[in-house]
Amino acid sequence: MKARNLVLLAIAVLMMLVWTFPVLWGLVTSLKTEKDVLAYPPSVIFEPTLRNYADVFRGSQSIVPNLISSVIVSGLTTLLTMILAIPAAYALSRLDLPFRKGAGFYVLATQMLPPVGLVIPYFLILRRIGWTDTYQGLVLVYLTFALPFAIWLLVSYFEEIPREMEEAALLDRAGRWRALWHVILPQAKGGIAVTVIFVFLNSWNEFLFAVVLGGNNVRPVTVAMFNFISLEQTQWARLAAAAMAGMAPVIILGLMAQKHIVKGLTVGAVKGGGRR
Amino acid sequence: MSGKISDEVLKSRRKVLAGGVAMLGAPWVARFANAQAAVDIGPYQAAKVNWRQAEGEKLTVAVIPAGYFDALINEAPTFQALTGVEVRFEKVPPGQIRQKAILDLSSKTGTYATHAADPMYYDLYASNKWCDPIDGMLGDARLTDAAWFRNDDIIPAWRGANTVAGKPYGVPFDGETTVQIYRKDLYAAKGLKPAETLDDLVKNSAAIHDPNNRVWGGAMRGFAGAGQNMYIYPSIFRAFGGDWFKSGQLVLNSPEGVAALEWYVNLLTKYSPPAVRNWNWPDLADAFSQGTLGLYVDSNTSASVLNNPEKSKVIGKIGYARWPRGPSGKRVTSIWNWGFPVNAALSEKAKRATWLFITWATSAETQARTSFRSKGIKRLGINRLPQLRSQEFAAMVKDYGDNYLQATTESMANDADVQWRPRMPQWPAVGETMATAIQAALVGQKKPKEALDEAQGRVAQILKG
Amino acid sequence: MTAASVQMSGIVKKHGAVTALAGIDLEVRPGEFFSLLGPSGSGKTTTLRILAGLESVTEGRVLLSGKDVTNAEPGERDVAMVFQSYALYPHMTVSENISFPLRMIHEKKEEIENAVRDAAARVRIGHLLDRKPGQLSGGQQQRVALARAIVRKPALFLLDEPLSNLDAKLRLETRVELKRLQRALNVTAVYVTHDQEEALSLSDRLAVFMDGRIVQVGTPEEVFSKPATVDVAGFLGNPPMNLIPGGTEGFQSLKGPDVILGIRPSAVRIVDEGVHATVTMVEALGEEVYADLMVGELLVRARLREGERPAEKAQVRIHLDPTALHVFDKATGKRL
Repeated sequence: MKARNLVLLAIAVLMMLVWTFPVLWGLVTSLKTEKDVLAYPPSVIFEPTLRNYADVFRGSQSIVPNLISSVIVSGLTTLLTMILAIPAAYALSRLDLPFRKGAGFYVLATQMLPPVGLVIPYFLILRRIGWTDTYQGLVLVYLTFALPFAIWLLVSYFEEIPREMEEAALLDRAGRWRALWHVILPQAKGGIAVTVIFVFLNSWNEFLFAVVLGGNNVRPVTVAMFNFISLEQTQWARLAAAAMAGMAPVIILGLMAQKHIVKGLTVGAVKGGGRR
Repeated sequence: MSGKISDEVLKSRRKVLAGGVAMLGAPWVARFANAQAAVDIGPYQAAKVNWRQAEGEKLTVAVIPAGYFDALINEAPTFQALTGVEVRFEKVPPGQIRQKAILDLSSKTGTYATHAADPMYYDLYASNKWCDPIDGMLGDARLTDAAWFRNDDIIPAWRGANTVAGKPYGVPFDGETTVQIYRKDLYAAKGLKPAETLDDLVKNSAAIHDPNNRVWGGAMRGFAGAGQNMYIYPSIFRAFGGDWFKSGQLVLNSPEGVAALEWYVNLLTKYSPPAVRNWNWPDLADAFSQGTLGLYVDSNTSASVLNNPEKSKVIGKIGYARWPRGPSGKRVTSIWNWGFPVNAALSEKAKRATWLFITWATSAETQARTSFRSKGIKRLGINRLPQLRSQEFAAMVKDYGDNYLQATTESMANDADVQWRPRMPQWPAVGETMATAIQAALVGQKKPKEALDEAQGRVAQILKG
Repeated sequence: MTAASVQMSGIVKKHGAVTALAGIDLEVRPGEFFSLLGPSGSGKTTTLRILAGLESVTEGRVLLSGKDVTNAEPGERDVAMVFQSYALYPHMTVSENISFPLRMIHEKKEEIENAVRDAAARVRIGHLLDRKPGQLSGGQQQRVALARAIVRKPALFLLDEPLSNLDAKLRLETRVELKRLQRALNVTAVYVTHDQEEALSLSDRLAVFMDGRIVQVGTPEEVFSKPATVDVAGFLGNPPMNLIPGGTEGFQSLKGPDVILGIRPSAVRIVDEGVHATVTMVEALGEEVYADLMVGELLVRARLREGERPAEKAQVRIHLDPTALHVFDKATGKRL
């Protein structure tokens, strides 16, 4: 038993390392000078510097405007997605619509389409309505991906909530919307948190559409990151600092939502949340 | 297409920081401050053209994130003061700029008045009439003062690379040439001279190869890509006497082609670190600057990275030489320049504004202001031979290493070869196919002959379709 | 609070091609404890849900206290419901659960507090108000559900098999309590169950459902002693009535061939003179004994006193009490 635990622990540590090593390496790199970055063997002891961060946050290579750009795009995408996806997913999970199965397949199909094939049509459409390099343009395009995905994800969470729960609320004079708000949404909190994270993460990390449909006005951090991989040389230390800065909002969001995610997972497991 | 960011940028940034500019506001404040600085438009007014004929136009120019374009962007207020034309720059990552330009050109939206163009793409632009030939504008006295602009001073090989069927399509702004870059200390220790032939190069590499002490004898770009391994291999191919076309047909698997690929694979597998298959120019420069490479063949503009005191451990130990001769007796260097074409979808007035921008950017005055006369970034890839040979330029590069200026200018003047790479509208696909084949041979997946035969088959399909 | 009356007339409910209810007429009087009894799938739960407004009707009308509520929303009907699964809100405390119906109509805070305390006291869960449903036992959860239903003092109280998730002992206790609560609150209650014992012991009157129809309405005594159809007869009683096709060998003398005879196991006697039967199995349950008896091909069950216990495989003779015979028409299944 003890030996088994040790082995499990070892495996867990190893897996953690595989996960965290690149991030830690990036963090360490971001604190080095370029010379230390290239040193061989890799220097473990070095004088940490915050200069890379200073360069990334101010001066001509600042990515702050790009971080703001990313926050606007991802935030708007997430907000709009949730506003539209929650009622849609709720309806889909509760109504016996004849096309429900088809809708599920459609959602999956949109996720399977190679995005490269859509770049050009989207570019031409946005161009026609004059929305290239605008926030509304990029958000609109992201919505076309995020919305089906979010609905599909949320439906599965809503379906897990017994219908009787909202029937009780209806009898308790809540009405549809308040039943959704007071009874369904609090129980789907975990699923909503997971969906928010996924949608935000996907749009935060998106590059292909951002680079083609964006421009000077809308230039998310994924695109700006290339300022450090110029044609001349890769500025590893600054790139690492920029990557850390670009990762931070997502990590913060993850930490904020973690409680809800874990709760969302355990509520279902423990005693069915008092439903059974 | 490589390096010159360097210490000047860092110094200037440090100054900005020392000035205590507020943290978040800094980028805008800095730009604003630049715009406010007094601009001197005097030298441009010597040109007998009406610079203000397109006043009020607004242009967007797509460039890549690179120090040499930053230098141009810093000078842009001068252009605006001179012409009254507003110009915005959009930095597009190098991997996407071609795709984005093609999207814009093919949809005829006229978003980018001009963009930093890959010379291998002009055939495609010309055959689709996406860009205008510029000979008309060059010859129009209302638009170009030929005596002032001196188009003939621009490096002929670069102009040739931007020409399709006798008509020029883009004016070179910045460029480079590939040369041997070696460690003169290691060479001296073994009594070696820079290689004169490809055979010598291999011998030199063998002599200094000492992987136990972390010195590898020779390397070149191994990464697959039209601008990576397919940027180096064509020089070897041509030096071996290869011809891309036989009676009008593209031939990739000629005996010369196979021999060239065998030579390349041999050098890289024997004398390069195993990771070379993933190496692009910055990686080569990083490795050389850390003293782990004894020799490599790549862009002359790497010199600024190799001499960056922040990074490099080999300052003062660097020598340069032209490409060695191949079995055919030829030295063949690469031809690279970022040129500016004119988008055919623009209005007449916008085209004139664009042309004024292009002639301004590529003029001797602006070239000097973004290089040896710059207070910030000093570009190496000047587009004019007289300026490359000037005292001022020589003073700027005097510490870059042995023979830098000579190797570079001779290479540009003599080793450029119009038939270096196969010029055709289908280049994007052909280039990628070849890149894949070269890498397959490099990693040992296929024999060189096999890889090229296969590439030939694929290209035949592409050309048919 | 005034107890509501219920009138359902001509209720038809179809799910596509499937008919769940094929014309229901039902009247529940104010203050009555009324059960809907039937096997699963017989339509009793659908009927309850129609009363609640959770299902629409295909045809027919629903009146509550004389008011037509056929198309009214659930929240507009002044009905409360206890679900089989209790449907407690797991993210709310017990007190929040109970106060929910009051908060939804924006009662004053003070009144809500009083009402919650009162309702909780009535079902004896006053000490659990700060817990979450997940921390309660099944019986406690059930009480919370009851409290949530009574807190708003509804005119009609709907219960959907509320005891089925409790263990046997608790079920008996709660049953009694439920009846007492209903009486104390003087509320009309409609109670759905498939458990005849519950229905018979709790109800003032009950309706027996079969295949989407009501086959009999009456007091427990009426329904038990005079089942209206063969099906009701075969459903009620534990064990249910023996059903003997008329003209079966050994029983020809009793009635003609066009009937079905029903006889409760308690009316089957082992005697010296009578029909020959073989004892195939004997179940002893304390004071009583159930015996399976084969008369030819026909199984007849008898409920005997402990002293009358026959041996298995024994040959006996049985007698059916003619005064306890129920006679049904073979073709229609109706009582004659």
